[in-house]
Amino acid sequence: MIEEMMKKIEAVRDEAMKEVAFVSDAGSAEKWRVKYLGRKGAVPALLTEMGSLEAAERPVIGRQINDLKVVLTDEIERCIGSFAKMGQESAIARERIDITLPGRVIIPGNRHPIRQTMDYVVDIFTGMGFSVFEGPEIESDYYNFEALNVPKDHPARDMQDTFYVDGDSLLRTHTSPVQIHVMESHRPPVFMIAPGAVYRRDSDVSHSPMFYQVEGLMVDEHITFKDLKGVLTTFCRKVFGEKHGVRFRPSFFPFTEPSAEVDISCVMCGGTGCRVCKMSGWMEILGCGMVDPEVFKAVKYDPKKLTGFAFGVGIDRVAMLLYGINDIRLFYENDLRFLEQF
Amino acid sequence: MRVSLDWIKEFVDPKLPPGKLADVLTMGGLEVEEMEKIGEDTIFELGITPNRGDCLSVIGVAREIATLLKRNLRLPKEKKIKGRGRMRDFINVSVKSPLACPRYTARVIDGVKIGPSPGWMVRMLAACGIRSINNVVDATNYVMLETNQPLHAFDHRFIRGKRIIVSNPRGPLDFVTLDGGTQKIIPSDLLICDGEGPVALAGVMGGKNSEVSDDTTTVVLESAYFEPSSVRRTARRLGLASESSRRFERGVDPTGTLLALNRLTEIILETAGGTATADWVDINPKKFVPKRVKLEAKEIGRVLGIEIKLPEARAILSRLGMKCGAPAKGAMSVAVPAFRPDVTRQIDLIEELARLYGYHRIDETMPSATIEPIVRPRFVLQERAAREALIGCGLTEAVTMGFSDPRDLEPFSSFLPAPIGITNPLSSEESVMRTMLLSGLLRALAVSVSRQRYDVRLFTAGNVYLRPQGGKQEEPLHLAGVLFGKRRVQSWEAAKEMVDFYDVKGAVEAVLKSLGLSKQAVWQRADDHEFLHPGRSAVLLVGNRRVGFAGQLHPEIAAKWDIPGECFVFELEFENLAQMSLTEKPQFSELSKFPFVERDVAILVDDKIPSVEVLKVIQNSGVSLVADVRLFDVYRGKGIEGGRKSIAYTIRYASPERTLTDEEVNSAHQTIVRALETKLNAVLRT
Repeated sequence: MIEEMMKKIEAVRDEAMKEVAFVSDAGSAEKWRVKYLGRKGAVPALLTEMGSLEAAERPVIGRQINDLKVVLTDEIERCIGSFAKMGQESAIARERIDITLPGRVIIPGNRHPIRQTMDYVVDIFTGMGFSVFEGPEIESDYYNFEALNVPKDHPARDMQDTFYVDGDSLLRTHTSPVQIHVMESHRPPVFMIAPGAVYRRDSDVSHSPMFYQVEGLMVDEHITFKDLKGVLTTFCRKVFGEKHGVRFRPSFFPFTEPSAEVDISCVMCGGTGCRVCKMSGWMEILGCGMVDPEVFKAVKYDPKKLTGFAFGVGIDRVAMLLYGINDIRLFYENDLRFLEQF
Repeated sequence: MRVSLDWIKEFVDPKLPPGKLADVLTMGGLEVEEMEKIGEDTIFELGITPNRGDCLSVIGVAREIATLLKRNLRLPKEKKIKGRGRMRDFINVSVKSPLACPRYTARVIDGVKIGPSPGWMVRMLAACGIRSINNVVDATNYVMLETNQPLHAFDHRFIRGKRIIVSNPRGPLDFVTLDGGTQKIIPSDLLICDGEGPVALAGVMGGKNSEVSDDTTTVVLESAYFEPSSVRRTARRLGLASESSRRFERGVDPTGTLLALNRLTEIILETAGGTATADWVDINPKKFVPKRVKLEAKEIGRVLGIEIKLPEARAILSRLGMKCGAPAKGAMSVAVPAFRPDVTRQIDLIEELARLYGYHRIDETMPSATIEPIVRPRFVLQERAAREALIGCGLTEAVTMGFSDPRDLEPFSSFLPAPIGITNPLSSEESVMRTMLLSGLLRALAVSVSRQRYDVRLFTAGNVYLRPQGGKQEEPLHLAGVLFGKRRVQSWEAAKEMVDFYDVKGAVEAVLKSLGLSKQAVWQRADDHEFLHPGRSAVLLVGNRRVGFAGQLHPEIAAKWDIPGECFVFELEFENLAQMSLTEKPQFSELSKFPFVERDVAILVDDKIPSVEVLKVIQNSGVSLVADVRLFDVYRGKGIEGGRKSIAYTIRYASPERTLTDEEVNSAHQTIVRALETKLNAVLRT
């Protein structure tokens, strides 16, 4: 009896293994599975036949049938797996796109070169511990001139041609009035910068009637001309590169004394002399100086105790040098062909 | 100022090639802006700062070179000029305004022959940018360029009453100057008058009535010291800046007045002949006293951070013509020469020391200071976040002028206060201060369109300038944008979809999100903004406050700007917006551990019902399990009867405490559908 059962098991195994060779897709795999492993399939049928066996024989045969079930299950799963893999491989092989078509994104807009440069310059100074202040663009004569040691009827007023507005006001010609506002409202020490728009009555390739400046002021006891040189040399090198040449030469501003213009070695020729730097090898980048005692007096700071330095950087000029722009008016025309370059 | 190197060499030998000399001058504070070679000569174009009026002359520049290079300065030899006749036989001179004219000198030359100047003089004047007129006028200019002292020659024939009176007029009067202009004179203008009226505007310009001409034979020469601010006031008021006024304003040497007169006399005798009077007039009631300034060694160190000992300081300052007393107790007294009126304080001496010591020899140090947290203006970080948000939406940043053309603001005028006008604009297009940003962006858009660029998305952040009637002037920060043309410019799929209201609204929503204000925003129809399309525009409210608008620019206004199509704009009162963002910090809510279930609902409603009303009904239907509601479709047209629309939402149901059963979700969804049916007369689509 047991031999007979063993033969039957063998026969099912042989037939199933023979047929599995012809299983070629998911459909025929399912048919095969139903035929052998399904509820009414050949393997469950073997189990029902076990009833006729001796009790002692049942575990032996039961184990055999179970082994067969495991073998067949593994076999058909292996088969299905390989179809899936083949199907996936052929699908992947068919899925070819044109990778040269443009990508699908929202193209971000561009930041204006003046604002980029402004943010860059402001970040350099805030990184050195300077606070940021703002002030009005429509100013009084007092803050724009008189408090900065530019009295009425003084030739220094010719240095900046001024726009006047209705009433007794003017458009600030520099960001220096913010120095006065801040010193009036803060006790020393004062480490500040003031970014913003300024106005001068002038228009050509290198002058715009509105442009941007960053004013700076550092006031404390023991601030010296050496510190002015240190801070501004650091600034120039941060902007234009660590190896860039920087020089300080004597100049005049009514609100600083001694005063200096700071030149950097020409960004075009590197200092050998070219048309852009008028063969000098240098380019003017900012004005600065030690705060004039008259300015301290105007804000009721004690010039005997305090010293300080002030500076003003033209942001348009820095941007022109950084990006090689040759006409300042391009900044304010907002031609997209221009803006999209930055 | 233009100055000839050949001329300079009459007074100092720099012993340097021109290029090297230019470097020395620039690093000494007299910036050589340009150099020009004319034959053997070199012309320096110098940028003379307003404090160095003394360097508006050849001798002044030569003195500076001598100082910088430690060379000898050779001043012209003073010649004693013999003459014939007495001044009083020609003219009587008096000064009635001694404050405005502390010194006045004059001399007469009789029998001059007016003619062309000799070639060397014409060449020197031309090199310095001055046109030759005749030998007498050229001589006044030549000596002015040489010595810095402005000079004038009157034709003696036309001096009525043979009197010269330096005075201010009692009342207003008209006066014709050499340039032919009629000047409105007021009492504060100092005049040179004869017996009957003015013959010159003191220190500014001579009069047409006493001009030297071809048949002049007798000249009255004037050399004076006029008070700087008086000359400046007159020259500025009349818009009559001259070579003379420029020098007087900056202060000429009060001790050089007579020297210059003598030099002028000498040269005219040489180039035009004639005989000078044996005497001259020199009205100089208050003799010049050199200013004495105290210099302390410790103050040098306090300002410059370097030590310059007083003996070294003395050596440096002496090169400038300063007379230093003996150092005592760490200080010394310094007498400032008359040609340096700019040096009046200790700090001025320290500047001169630093300049001549050499800025390049002063070390660089970083200041030592107490570290304190920095402060920034309010809203700076919010402004940066908003700008980045718009850039992320594909808008490019513009920077527009603070000025505006009043005509550009006209369409918005009922909405804005009158703009602040500029008294002296460069052009009518830039004659007022902007009261909004949008007009500047529309101008930029119009520029792009005129240059064949039809897809434009721009924004700008900037101040506007408001002076409301009776209110306080202010400069609030605004943020504005403009969108025009295709929605997806670089797309090869969605070919020609144009931007619409929802693009501009989306840009504003991105800004709101960057400020953490998405939930607080309420949009309302913009029915009072007549510059917007009434059906396609909205005002934005945050916290019940209007903070801006967004929508389609009214087609009539777009046409005024020559914008060929629908243009979408927004402008936000950024400070008012940013202010609210400060109070709203997002608060964390627990993340749910349980799965959610989503159900879609599509309904037909009256087309006039805004989507936000449907949303409200869903949210307020009393179902607590609604975790999220998302609109996914709005449809009108084929298959939908007229006047109605299909609108579809996905509703997400979830509980923070448990996994929901099908029954719970179905019942909640039914409640919502019933609410939509009863409250909005909606019909469920299946």
